Amino acid sequence: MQFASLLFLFVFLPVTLIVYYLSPKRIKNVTLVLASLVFYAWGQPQALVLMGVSLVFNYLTGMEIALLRGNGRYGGAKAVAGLAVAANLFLLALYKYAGFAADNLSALLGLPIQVTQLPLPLGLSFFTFTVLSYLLDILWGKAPAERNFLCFAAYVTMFPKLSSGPIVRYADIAPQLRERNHSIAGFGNGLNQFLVGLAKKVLLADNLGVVFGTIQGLSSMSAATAWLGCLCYSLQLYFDFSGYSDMAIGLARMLGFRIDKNFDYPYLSASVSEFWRRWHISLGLWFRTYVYIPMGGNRCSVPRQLLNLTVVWLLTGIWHGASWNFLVWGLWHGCFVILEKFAFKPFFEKIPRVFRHIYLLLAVMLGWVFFFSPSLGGAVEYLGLMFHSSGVWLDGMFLYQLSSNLPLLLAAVIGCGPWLRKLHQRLAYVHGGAAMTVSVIAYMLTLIACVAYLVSNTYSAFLYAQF
Amino acid sequence: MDRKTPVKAPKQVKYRFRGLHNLALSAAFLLVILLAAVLNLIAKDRVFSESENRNLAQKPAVSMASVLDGSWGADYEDYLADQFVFRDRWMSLKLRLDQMMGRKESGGVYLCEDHYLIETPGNSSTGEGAALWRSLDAINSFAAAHPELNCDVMIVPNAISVLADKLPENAPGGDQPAQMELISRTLSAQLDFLNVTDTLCQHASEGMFYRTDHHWTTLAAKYAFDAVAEQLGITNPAREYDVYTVSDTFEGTLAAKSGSHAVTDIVQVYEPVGTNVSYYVNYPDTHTKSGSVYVSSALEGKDHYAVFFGGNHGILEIITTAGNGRNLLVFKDSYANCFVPLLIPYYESITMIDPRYYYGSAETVLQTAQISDVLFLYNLNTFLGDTALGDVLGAK
Repeated sequence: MQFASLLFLFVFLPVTLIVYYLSPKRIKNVTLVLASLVFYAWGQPQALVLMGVSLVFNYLTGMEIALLRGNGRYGGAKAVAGLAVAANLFLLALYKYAGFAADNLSALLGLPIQVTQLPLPLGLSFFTFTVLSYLLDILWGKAPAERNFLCFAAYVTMFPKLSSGPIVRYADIAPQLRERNHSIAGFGNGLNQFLVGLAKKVLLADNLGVVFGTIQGLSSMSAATAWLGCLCYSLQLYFDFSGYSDMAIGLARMLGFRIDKNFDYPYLSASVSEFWRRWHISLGLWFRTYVYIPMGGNRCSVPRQLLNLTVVWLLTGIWHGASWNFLVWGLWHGCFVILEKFAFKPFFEKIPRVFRHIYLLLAVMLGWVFFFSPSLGGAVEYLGLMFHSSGVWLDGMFLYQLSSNLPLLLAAVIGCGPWLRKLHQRLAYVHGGAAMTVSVIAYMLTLIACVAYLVSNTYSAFLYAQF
Repeated sequence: MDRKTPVKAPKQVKYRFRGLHNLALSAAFLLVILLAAVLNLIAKDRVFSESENRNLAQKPAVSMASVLDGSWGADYEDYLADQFVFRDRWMSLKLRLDQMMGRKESGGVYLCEDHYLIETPGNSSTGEGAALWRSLDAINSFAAAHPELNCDVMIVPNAISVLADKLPENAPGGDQPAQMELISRTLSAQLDFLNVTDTLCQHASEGMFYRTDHHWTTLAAKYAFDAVAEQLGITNPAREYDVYTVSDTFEGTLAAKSGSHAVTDIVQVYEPVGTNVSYYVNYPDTHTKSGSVYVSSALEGKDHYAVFFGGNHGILEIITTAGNGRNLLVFKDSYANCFVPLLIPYYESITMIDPRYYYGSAETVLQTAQISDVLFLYNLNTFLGDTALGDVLGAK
């Protein structure tokens, strides 16, 4: 199920909220798990089997690791954890990478290997990383194993973050699984963030997606049009994913959970390293905590550091999807991070921020070309178009698309920064009165606008749901 | 979370209305959502949407199999969207928001000056693809195989090229003149290519196309007839017509596609003055005969353009009292429906074949109806993507 859908807004959410808040405190987790399973199974009920098996397996394994660790048998705990991690990664590989691996193997060896790629269960990449963080936190003594199966199931399946994160560390959320504060203020704050996320997704991202789709479908285009397409995609992806994260965090808050922010205005960054501290924060943290630091992080020789960084960025790339494009995209970002760390350092800070910012935007936008192109060849072709391979700088298409979408693009660019939010807070929260009333009405009008698009639009899936 | 508390504490004081704001927001949100949810439960499901001109999804039946394979869940979402309370109003709101954002098209339709709705090229033409070459080959082979017949081809340009100056600024307008040129060059010399582009462009301001529909108007067909009558071998065409307005509430397919319902169109019928030729129409598909090419019951339905012959038929024949030995066969799409009535006084019989709905043989018709003239009459958009004509003419 998608958040930005009529089904979610007008059926699932009201029913879930009513039942959840009517449930006595002791059984709120039961309500949450049941609601999450309905959310998960909608449209793909077969995946429930996988979910059930995985839940039981990881629950028991977590207790086993804790038991062995408690008995001083760290080696045994490590072995069990290693096997469990391998099993979880195997499942992810089976559903996500089998087709890709088979294609490349058959091309490489000349063997006719063919694999029917299974349909990817909702949020499997996020689900797997969540479970891995649980197992490794127990192994490393960061958190105790969860003895209550319901609490564990609630942690893993919790519908706000189930399909596309944020990837919440078990240690961060464990106390809230038993005891959390349900207040009107918390609900209201959560709702606020949810509505902002909904508007980002439905009004900005989906409409930018329409422009991008039109441009990507052109058989030839001027350089200006190609750049406009790339800009639209860059903005679309940001509002799609950060909107989704806002909805997830807001919904969690409405249910009494606090989850850390997943985006911190990444397009305002001034270096690629900074970008990755502000874009999909929970994924970056995950790789840092569970891959980079265990490999030695930056407390080792320079060649080893280079290896560590390369591995992390290759994994980041391939996590986003089973294709060479994502690998190249991961490496692209990895290269900039490495350059910034080892080569640019002496002079980078001396460059005026505006130039560093331009550099960051170029690096990220050119990177997205690999992200959105269907193949490596397609990416190279599109990059060529951006750099004038068509021989035309400007065409009517560019002017038409620009004039058809100027207010949208302006709104999107402004939405990349905290300015509107700050202005809104200053107006609506400080003085109350008329400004507050206007703000509430504006939120409702935004909601109504979102519903108008949801009723009219053909179904447009969340971009990150494919990862 | 703890580390944030010291930072947040002073903020809460500063933003002292935040709590109240969010309380009001929560109340308003729950009110809106629950109200809509309840209205959706109460509202009666509709079968057909007049404004979208399509059947709406109905509540899917629950079965073990459909729930387990997930199709019930997906169908239920479609059902929810199609039967959402006030659906039509939501759609107009969406269109209005789109236009406020600067959008100049909706659902593959340009929203043009003077409330003209015009199909975008991306949506309507498939370009010069394999289908076009196959059709042209088939027409050429047909003409070569029948040198005794008078063969004419009339491809009518669409609004996008005739009304190009009404399109939004810089909007991609396709390349109909070049496509027209390509077709006329490819057709063999045995065929007369009747190009009415200039005629329609000259009269563009008089209403050559419906504002809300992709068809040309009867007036456009009349101007086209005036222009090509001589090439068709009609020596004494009618100059005067009685004009009857049969509908002023026509909302065509483009209104449905775009969701723009700002205007309605007028449908007119032209009757030549001063001919004494009478006729009847034979519809083999429904085994009916009719004394008129106009079907007034169509005006009670949605598509008022169907007043001409009641829409498209695989094959139909018009038998007249002209008695001049000329028997015409028309291979056509719906553009012919308002044009052919103007030809009635000048042929002994007119057979119309719409290849999209006709599965018989063209050769048999040539024999039985003693055809002397053949006209291929299409609009350019349909012709570019059509595969049925080649099939009926027996192309490979």
